Amino acid sequence: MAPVFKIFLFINLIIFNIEGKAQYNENVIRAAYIERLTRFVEWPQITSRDTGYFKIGVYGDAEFYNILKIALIDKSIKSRKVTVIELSDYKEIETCDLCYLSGISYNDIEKIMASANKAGVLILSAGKDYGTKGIHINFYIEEDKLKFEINRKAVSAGNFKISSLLMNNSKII
Amino acid sequence: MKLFSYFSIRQKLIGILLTVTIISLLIGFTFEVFSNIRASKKDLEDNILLNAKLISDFSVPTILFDDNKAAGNILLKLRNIPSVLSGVIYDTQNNVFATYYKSGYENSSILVNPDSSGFTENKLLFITEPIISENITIGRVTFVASTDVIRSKTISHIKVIALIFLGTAFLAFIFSLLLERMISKPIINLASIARNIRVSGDLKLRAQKYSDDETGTLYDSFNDLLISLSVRKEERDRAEKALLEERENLEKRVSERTIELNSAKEKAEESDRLKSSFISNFSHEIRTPLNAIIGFTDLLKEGMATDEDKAFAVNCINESKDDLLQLIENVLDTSSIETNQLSLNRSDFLINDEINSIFKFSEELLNQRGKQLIQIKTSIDSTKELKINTDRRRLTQILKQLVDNAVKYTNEGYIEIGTFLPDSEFIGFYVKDTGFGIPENEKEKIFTRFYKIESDKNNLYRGAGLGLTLVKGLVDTLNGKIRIESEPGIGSTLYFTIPRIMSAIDGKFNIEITPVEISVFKGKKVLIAEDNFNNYAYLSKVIKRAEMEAINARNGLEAVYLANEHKFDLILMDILMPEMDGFEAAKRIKSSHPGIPIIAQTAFNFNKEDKNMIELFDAYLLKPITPQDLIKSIARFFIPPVSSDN
Repeated sequence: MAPVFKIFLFINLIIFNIEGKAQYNENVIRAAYIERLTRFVEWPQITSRDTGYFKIGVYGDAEFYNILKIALIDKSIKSRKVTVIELSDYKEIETCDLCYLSGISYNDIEKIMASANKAGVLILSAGKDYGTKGIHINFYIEEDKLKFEINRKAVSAGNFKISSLLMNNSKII
Repeated sequence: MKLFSYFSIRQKLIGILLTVTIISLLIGFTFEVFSNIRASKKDLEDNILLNAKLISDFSVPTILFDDNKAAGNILLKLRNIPSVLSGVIYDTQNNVFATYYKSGYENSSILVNPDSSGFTENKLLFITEPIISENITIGRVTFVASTDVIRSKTISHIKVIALIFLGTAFLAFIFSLLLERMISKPIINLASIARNIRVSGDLKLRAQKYSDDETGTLYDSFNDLLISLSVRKEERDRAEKALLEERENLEKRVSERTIELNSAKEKAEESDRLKSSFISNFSHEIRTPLNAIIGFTDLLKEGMATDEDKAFAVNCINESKDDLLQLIENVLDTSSIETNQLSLNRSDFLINDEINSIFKFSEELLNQRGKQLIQIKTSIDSTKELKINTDRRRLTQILKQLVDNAVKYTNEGYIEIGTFLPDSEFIGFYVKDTGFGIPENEKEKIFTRFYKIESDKNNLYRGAGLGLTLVKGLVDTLNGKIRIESEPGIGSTLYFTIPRIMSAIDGKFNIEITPVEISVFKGKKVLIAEDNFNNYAYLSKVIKRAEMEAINARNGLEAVYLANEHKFDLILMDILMPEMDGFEAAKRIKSSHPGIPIIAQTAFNFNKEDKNMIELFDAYLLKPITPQDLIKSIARFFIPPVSSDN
């Protein structure tokens, strides 16, 4: 291997490793935040929902799914035992109480949110402008800190009630 | 407390009310201040704690989502709470998550992290509140607050309290001024009434009560006390008045008694003086006739040359004897009058006879005294033929004494003896002279026993001072009255009145003896019971001269014996004898020989009303006994007596 390539590879590796580590930490924090966010959110009454588990679905980010699954092992949300499932199709969100969507197109957001609001599923994401496109709560990084923004209109459309404490600590759009 | 007693009751009441009010207010306000301090501390603590809780709640998402900036923004809200000096949020690892420091306290060392909440000694309040999410402590928030707000609030509160205190005290003072009158006015009024009563002494004043409470009862009691005092005062006034009257009476009585005592003293002194004078005069009056008697008796013993000289001597002795006897009789009569033992012998006689007898006595007296120049006059025309019934002997004694006085104190002019009739029951006599008269202030004294008017003119006159005393006593005994009219240098007139008819008296011894014939005595046997030989010799001489036989018994026992052994026609019984006195002897003789008359003869002037004398003796002779009296007394038992009532 040429020295330049080696240097490039090393740099890339370092960068990759650095970036991968940062990503990992961000996913961990995000996983922790998801559980904490649920403390400030009240779900609408959906009679058809299975009340035995608090089901969290992850779509489009397997790594995050693994991290979240580990992070929420033996955890309970809203007095229900948490179960984390990986969604293969975002259409499966209706079976969940909360879904984390990643890698979806802006065009699908409206359809997804309509379905989610109808099913009473709180949609979280971590993509640029996802919040403004209609996602309930969207994570973002600001000053090296993980923050989130709440789409008040989307939340209202889904009949969710979010605590003012959370609202005061988030970006409202 | 002594100082307190100087205040008036109003001041005391106001003082009490104000003191109670102020003490109550002080206690209340002190309690209020401390309560307020405690409440302020509690408020501050609650307030800080509440904010801590709020901050804690608000901080939950900041810690959960690691947003210390947001946490800092939350803490900035503490700027609106001035008392909070700092606020710090710690995470579970006790790391400082967010801080707030009040301006000026950024580097203050007093804002240390305490172990526990609460107030500290440096006047700070530490509050720590955990930050909890889903029942898990995710951190804590700690506040440090200043307690200056408590102090400032307390000071403000105290100021308000002080204002309220002053206002309340002022109101209490105003109310106490108004209310104390309710209590003090009745008492002050009562005190005023009591003072008025003390000044005026009017116990009729009464207190009008204002109410029926205790002061009303006090008023009632006060009025009752006034009534009681009024009654007592009236009683005391009456007692004082009675005492005053009694004192005045006592003073009057004392004064009267003093006057009486002074008078008595003067009388006693006068009496003493008179007695001294009397003794002197009496001695003189006794010695004078005794001198003649003794002198002439001695001359007769020595033997006189001629019968004419002997006759002259006997006559002088006889006159002196009469003077001496008269003096003794005056003394005895005076004594008898004073002891109411003077006997009276009532008889009828003509005034003319009595006045003629006195006239003759007066002429003889003037001759004796060598006062032939004095003329004797009588004035009895209206009573010349009047016959009266009284004790002639005593009437004669009165008139002779008055004439004797008139002759004694008159040197020239005349002496008039007269009578008058003041009324149908009395007859009056008077003896008027032209002597030197009697001063007005001595008119009453001349009847006093032993009194003699002393003057340069009369000092030469004889007398024991009993003449007019005896005269007045005799007039009184005869139930009459005597008075004197006299003018110094002109003369005197003594008037006296007596009843024309004297009351009848039992006169066993009051028998007038008629002239006696010697023949009736011849051969009579007389027992003379007499222990004194000279007296026996004299009596036996008289009896033997009347041709009677006399036998002597020297005591009563011997008299009884002789009376039993011999037959006597009469017994002369002395009273005071040895062995047996005359009473006992007479009693025994009378029991065995009741028919023998017994005549008592004694020197004692017995009361003739004496029971023993009446029962035991048939007659009574008082020594000295003249031969005539003895014969007269004996004769009545040997010849039929002539009653004076006939």
